[in-house]
Amino acid sequence: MRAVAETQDFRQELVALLPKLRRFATTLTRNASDADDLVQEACARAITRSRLWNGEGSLESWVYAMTRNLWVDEIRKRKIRAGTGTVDAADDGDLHVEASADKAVYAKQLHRMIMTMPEGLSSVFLLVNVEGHSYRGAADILNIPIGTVMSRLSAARIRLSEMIAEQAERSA
Amino acid sequence: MLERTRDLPLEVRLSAYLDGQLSEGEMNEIKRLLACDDEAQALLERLKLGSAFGNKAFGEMLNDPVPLQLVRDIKKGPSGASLSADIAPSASRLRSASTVGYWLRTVAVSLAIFVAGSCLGYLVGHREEETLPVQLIAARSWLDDVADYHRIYSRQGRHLAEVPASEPGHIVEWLSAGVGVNFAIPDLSQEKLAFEGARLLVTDGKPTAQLLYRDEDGDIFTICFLKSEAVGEKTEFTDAIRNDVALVSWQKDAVSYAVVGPSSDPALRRIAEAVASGI
Repeated sequence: MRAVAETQDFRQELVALLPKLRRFATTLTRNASDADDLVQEACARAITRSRLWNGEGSLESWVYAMTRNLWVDEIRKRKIRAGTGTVDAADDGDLHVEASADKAVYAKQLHRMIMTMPEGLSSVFLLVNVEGHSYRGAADILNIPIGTVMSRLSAARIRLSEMIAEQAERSA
Repeated sequence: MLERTRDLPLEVRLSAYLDGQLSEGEMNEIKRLLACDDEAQALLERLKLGSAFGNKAFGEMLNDPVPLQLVRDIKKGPSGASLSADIAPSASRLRSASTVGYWLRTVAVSLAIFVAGSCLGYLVGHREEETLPVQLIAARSWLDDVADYHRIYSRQGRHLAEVPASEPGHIVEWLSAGVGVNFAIPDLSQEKLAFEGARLLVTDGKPTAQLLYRDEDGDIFTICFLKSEAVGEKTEFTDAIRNDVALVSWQKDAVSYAVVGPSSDPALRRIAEAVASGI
């Protein structure tokens, strides 16, 4: 049985990972409420299975993959329980960014814009472009081929550049 | 490194070029294309723009405060399979329908235990109402005060400490006399914490020492202690969270201690262990 102190260290590492894990979960769920539920469930599962964690490699990648798998399961269940799908950020109010908005509002609007990206693009973009995972690492976490990582990454970059253009048009 | 991408759309190849994921031969090929093809160059600029914007937007997301309940559940929940029984009800939406019955039964049993425990607690606690509630309120009050002080003083950049770290002898003499507790200033350099100085506070109506430390990121950690009822052996560490501030507290002999820091910091328990052995 894992020593108490060791388990405590594992929990502490999970707590330190929370901001990034929530961000990753948000790219999967595309709404904050589901993301927090997903993170909670993923952390519970990670602690339950902490004995399987061998301390090698990246804890982040291990927990990310677990989070992604949980979400895939959840989506499958929701499809079975028809009519209980997620509410996309795209349907969630005003999405444009006001240049004059204060920092908190601006951040929230940026957040919502990101969530309007087509499913799958934001997760790949986050892992590779923002967090520096390799193509192979992102493919392993998301359980998709490297070719899909590449095409989603370029599509995400194009989509994000379009968002800036759309924003510029609104501001003009 | 990707060996062959020539069959892929140009934007995908350019995207991989941006990440340096192409083989040397293909990198050179893309460079030559960019030198003579304005459309390819424009496409590359769009990809770069999207990358920069996405980085900024995702960077902002890291500033979102982490729900404290989440931190509590991870830090304090039971280990192993029983943990999921301790997580907040909101997570149940992600559970399968097949587990609902199990949880309903668990809740029913828990309620029954709670009701029985409440009745028993009332019968037992009724005789102790003169003392127990007062002790609980006092314990809560001192930690609440400490958290409030921490929140305020940790933001005082130029006036962080009342007496600076350059006067360690005076700090020990002054606070030992003021608080009535003999102590040594713990060396927390192993925890990458630098001593910044000290303050004298009042918590729960009693003089309380506050030793202030700063970590490499500029976050402030404090050690607070005051005289309390004697307990003999050192008590277990107790974790607590007050909004954005986390505390680890314990008692030893006739002194109550607390180590205080940002609620997001995972190292607080380790710091508390170092303090308990070094103060």
